[in-house]
Amino acid sequence: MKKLTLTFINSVATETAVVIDNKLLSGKIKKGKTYYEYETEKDEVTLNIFSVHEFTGKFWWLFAFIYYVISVFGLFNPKYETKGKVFNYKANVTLTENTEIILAYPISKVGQKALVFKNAEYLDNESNVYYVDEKIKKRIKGFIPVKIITFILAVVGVLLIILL
Amino acid sequence: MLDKTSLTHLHISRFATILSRLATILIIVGITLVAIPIFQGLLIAVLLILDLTALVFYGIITFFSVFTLLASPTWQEIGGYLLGFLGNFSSADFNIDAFVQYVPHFLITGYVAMVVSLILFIISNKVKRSKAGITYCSVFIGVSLAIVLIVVGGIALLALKGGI
Repeated sequence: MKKLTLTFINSVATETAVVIDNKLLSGKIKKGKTYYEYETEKDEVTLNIFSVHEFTGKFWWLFAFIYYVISVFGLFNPKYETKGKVFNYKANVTLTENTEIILAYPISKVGQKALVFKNAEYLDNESNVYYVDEKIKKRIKGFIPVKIITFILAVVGVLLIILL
Repeated sequence: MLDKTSLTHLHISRFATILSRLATILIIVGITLVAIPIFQGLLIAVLLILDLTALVFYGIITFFSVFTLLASPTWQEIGGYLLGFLGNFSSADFNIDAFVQYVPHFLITGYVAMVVSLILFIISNKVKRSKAGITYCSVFIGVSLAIVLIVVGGIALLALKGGI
């Protein structure tokens, strides 16, 4: 049995998912570091680390709308990532008995590295980069008029209640 | 979907953040209102925020009461207090003494919401599942409960002595 350990030495503002051979792993947090462990008989596995944006998913519009309303029209709502910045890193990792990969999330902009490999630079490739997901960007822009209309409707509603 | 779990974490985390911010406002305003004679000048501005916050809280409580079939009298009672406050605020003969009686309810509702949001933070992995994280949560819950009890107890004592 071969063991692969991924250690993230810091955290990132956006939610990320770690998938090995199409299996989603859940991390264990210890002293600020996040550990992911995977055991297999295989000599090589496919590693996929990607960011998850809130404007993805089937009911993104419903959640965005609910959060907008319950947060008093965005007043108490944490700021969204508004540029549609995501990454989707993929690589094949050759395993030994105990393989440990230490990674860090750098503070990056679009076009810059999403992950920094502290002890396995050979795993770095062209997929390790932030890019703009046009679909998410379109959704973020499309949601702005909804927010404005909802706010106007709420103000009109309150005024009507006061006046009548 | 592999990213479904991460997306759920994001949604829980965002909801918990909104809830904790609303709870903070309720608790801060509740404590501020104890010192109404000192802060009378700020009262109208505070009430405007509180009015909206109370409305949102009532919405959340109703939502949970209806959709989780847990419409217990206690929650309905809290909702009733909040609506009562709204009615009190809207009426022309606004009575400061009548208003102060709602302070304990704001604090208790705020405190419950704060604890719920902390639990949600733990579920969503935002608060680290570590010894330090648990200690932090315990201290936070303990200290905030002490503050709420002192303020509510103080008001109750004042009420018993005929001060309010």
